[in-house]
Amino acid sequence: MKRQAIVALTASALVTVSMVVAAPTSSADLVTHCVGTGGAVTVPGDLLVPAGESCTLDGTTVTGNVRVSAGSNLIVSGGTFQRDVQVALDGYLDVTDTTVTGQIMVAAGGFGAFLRGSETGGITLAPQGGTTVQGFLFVDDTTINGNVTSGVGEFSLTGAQITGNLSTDGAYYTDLVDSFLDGTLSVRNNATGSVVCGSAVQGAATFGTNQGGIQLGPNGNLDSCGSGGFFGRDVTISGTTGRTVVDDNIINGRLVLEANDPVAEVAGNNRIRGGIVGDHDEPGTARPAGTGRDRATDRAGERRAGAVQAAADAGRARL
Amino acid sequence: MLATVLGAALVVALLVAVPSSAVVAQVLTWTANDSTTRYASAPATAVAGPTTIVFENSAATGNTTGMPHTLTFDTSTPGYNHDVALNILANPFDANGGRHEAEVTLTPGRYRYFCAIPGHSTMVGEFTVGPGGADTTPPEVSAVVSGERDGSGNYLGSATVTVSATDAGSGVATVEYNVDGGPWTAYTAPVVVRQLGAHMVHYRATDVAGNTAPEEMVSFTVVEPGPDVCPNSDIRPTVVIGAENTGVTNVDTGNGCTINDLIDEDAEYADHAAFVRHVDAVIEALVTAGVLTRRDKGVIVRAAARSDIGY
Repeated sequence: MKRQAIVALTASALVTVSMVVAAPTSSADLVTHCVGTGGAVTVPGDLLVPAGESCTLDGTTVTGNVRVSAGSNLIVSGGTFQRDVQVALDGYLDVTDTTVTGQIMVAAGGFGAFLRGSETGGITLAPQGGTTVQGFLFVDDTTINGNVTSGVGEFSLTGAQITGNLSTDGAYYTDLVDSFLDGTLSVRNNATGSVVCGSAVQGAATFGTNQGGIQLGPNGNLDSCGSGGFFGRDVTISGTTGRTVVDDNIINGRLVLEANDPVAEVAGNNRIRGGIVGDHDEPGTARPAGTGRDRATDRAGERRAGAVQAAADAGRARL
Repeated sequence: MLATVLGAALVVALLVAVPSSAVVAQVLTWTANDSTTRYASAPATAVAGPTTIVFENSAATGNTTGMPHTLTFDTSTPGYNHDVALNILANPFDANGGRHEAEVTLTPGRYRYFCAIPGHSTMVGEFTVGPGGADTTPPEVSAVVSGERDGSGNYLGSATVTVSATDAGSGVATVEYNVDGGPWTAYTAPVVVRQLGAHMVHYRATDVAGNTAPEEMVSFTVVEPGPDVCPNSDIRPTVVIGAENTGVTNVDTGNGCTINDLIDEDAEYADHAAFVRHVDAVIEALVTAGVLTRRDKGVIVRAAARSDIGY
């Protein structure tokens, strides 16, 4: 197969990179392999980080798709990726001050993605499938022009602006802090609950059959949240196992509470324009669903005590 | 000096390469038992040339039910050698008591074999035959000592010796070791030495052609496990990575090491991703042990990602 040299990519290569250029694909696109570090150059065509390798880019533009192969790392700062970014099994994507015009897609078993001060299209984390790795998506101060969807992992967005919908199903947790979400919010089957703090959610917000509790606003036990949020439509919380706290929020629609155990605690400082539908209590008075009134237990204390006991039982950590 | 060799959890890194010679007549042995899904034992490699095939399906190999099996070489599946037509039927009650032999000549390549008894279709396997030629080179053998160590290099509580042997010729036949001059013992698993004091572990290996590598030795000292694996701990009250205070309590993780010790932000990392992955790994272990919550982990790993460590 015909191979082309990297010098064909750009003459002003500030690259200190060992970028290996592979043959054109069947569609004649150029694929540049990146191992090492790269500077402010333009890579025409696709960029590939080979399996198990690391690529660190600073100020690099890639006109095609970017692929982070299995077990590899891509660290980029000040970059411009004009198409999609795909992250494979155990791949890690670390993006700072970078524009991704296309989508970011993390495959099943991806190690994770961290975005800071960046702008991107939609983000998708594939469900875990048969893999053993549950990756993460951590977003700081980043604009996402599209939907964010995850079927896996640790999911936390702070200072995010999302033009589409945010949906997770089967994640460890979904936390949205100091963020703007233009579309709907759907959090289902998360293993350790969800926190929405200081954020504005324009569309309907739905929390279904989550474990570990739901915390909208401060004074919950999941996060040291400083303020409540704004919800433009209905907020529905159902089938939660664990403490549900709704505190210091403005809800333009209804607050619908169904089959939460214990029943949701709704503070008097919320402004809920559509009214509350379903079983609820004042904060600190929540009772197990379907039983008499009991003072809500301090689940944070329980969790800490349980963790300490488990650590003691486990003995020396095998690290 | 007496040594105590305890607990031998088995994971031997015996890297047996494709044999390349046959200077001695070789005998390949298959055994079967009551299982209808797999042979009890079978060779993985061989060398080209005249070979004695032994197939034993007897009470001695674990057949307690009289179950018949065959050792049949595949002569039709593409990708394998088809030059040996072998089909041995054996059961514990046959005239040979279940033990049969056949003389064949193997050629370089792969052979596939199976049991032709109906219902035994998963009793299949293959072995590789290397080219013939004289093998006069002994195996390469090495050993690695591992375990928690103190600042003087002594092993805390125990040391584990892992022996590896490779032979590019006829393949490794045996690996042996002894501890502190004791009897030579077949090496089947990493050797754990717990007795306090100085120790020497000798080891050697022999290949199929009979070449024996010179005996080698590793020495080490086992001392009492200290109560504090991290004697100069980072005891800041919270977990700090770079300039970021995560707010997560910097607890002792159970062996004298705090979370900050385990994160070890001042160590050398190949790149930033290596540091993030390191933090993820050590913190995931603490989540598994119940020391931290998964949200704590998120806060810490995120701080690692934000940091400039590894750049």
